[in-house]
Amino acid sequence: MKDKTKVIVLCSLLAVVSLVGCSNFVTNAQRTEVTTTHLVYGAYVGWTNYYIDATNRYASKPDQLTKLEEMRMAIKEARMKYAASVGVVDSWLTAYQSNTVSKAQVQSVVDASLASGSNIVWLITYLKSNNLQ
Amino acid sequence: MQTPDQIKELLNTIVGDINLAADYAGIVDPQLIPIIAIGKAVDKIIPGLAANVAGMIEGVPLSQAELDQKATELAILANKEGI
Repeated sequence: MKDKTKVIVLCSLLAVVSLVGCSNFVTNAQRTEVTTTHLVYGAYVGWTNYYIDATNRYASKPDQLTKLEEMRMAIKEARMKYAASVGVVDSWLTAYQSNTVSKAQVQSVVDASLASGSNIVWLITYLKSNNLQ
Repeated sequence: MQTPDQIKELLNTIVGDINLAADYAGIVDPQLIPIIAIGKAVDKIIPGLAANVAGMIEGVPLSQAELDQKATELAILANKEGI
């Protein structure tokens, strides 16, 4: 009987520990996701300010406007891909919370989201600094 | 290891420096105005980042306001009609 009680207590403790671990991981993943989204959004707002200003400045320069349009399309594609990848991460996190996937799998999609976020920030910085003179 | 408060202070200092640099740049060369606009955008995101980094260190779950803000930002980033 004592052994049975010990097993129940041990199982309960393990359950609590795993719930705490799960909760911390999900909190960290969500905070990482929010940080990345905030950074990408900030970069995008900066880009829209730049785009509006550059459109006015290059109104009489068709070549520059063509380049600007190419930049706009590249950034638009990158931001939409980013938003889609965050949606995938969210669905994986939901699945993780219901314990249907492994931590390693969720970690890999969180990493993918971070990479996607840094790609768009890099793209905006690169295009703004190199493509228009 | 810096505390969340130290990180907040550091990021707020960076914001102050960006604003100061942007104001000087605008006086020196009006062509730098696009850069100033970018600096002002950074000014808006840094405080949010500081709070989020602090929350990550402390393991604080996201509040409803933070979730709503993320949803708003993602909706703008996913907008097919946007710039």
